[in-house]
Amino acid sequence: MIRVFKCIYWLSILTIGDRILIAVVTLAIGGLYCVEYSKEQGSRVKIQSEGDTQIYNMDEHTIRNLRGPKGMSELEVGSSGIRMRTSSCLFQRCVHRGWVQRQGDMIVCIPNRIVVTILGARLGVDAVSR
Amino acid sequence: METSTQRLTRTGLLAAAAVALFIFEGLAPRPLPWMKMGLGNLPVVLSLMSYGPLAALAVSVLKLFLGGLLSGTLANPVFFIGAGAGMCSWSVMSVARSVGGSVFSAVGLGIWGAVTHQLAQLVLAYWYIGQWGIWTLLPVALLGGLISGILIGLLAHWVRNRLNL
Repeated sequence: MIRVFKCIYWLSILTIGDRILIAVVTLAIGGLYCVEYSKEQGSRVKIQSEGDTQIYNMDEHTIRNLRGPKGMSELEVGSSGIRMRTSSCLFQRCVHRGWVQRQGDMIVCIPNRIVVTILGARLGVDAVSR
Repeated sequence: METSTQRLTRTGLLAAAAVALFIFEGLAPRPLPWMKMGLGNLPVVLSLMSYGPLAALAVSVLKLFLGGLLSGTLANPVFFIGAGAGMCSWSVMSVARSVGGSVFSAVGLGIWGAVTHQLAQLVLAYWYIGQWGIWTLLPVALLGGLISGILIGLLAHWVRNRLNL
């Protein structure tokens, strides 16, 4: 019982301002997550590396080797998402990003100068000039 | 009774602690590479609460420069992003402290500081990289800021009680 009181003791040092602040930030995070998860799955992938931009459909499972200033990076593209499988950069941030699949999601490797973005379905010319 | 020498010495000690925590944190393993607990912010919160905004500024600037010098990241983009975020975090905490008075406890100040730090970091990173997709990190960054702010605030509260700062 005493242990339980010790666990919740920290709540007692919070002022009204603290509580409101925590509530507001929590609501903001909740709202942002709702927006994030209502985004649609992507269907194309845009790869920017070596000053070059290429766009592929995500319908088939492929592994693309991308060259950058630090060496090679392996990008795995599947129908359900993309990830950086391996990369020759120092901190491996792009690899730790894991799988991403929603429109607008990105994998960025700054050391190897690679930016991969997930795009939605292709818009026809009519759809753009409508 | 506290003399100005005592004040100066204690601010110096807090700055030294901030540098040590900053370096330690850089070495400690982290679950996600950009996620740091912000332990270096603990002495900044302490000095803000005990000695006011100017002391906190001194601690924060010393932490950034000495920490950058010792970890070898001085004058690279990561340093400027961190320094800009640190300054934003200091100003918001100072304003919250001086305008709010006793509205916010150490926990509130910690949350203001950590959340501002995360937001400023994203803005500066966006400015540097110029990729819109960086904003997908916003929810995670805010969540991290909230959690680390609460932890740092509780630690600050506890340390202040123990040390009679």
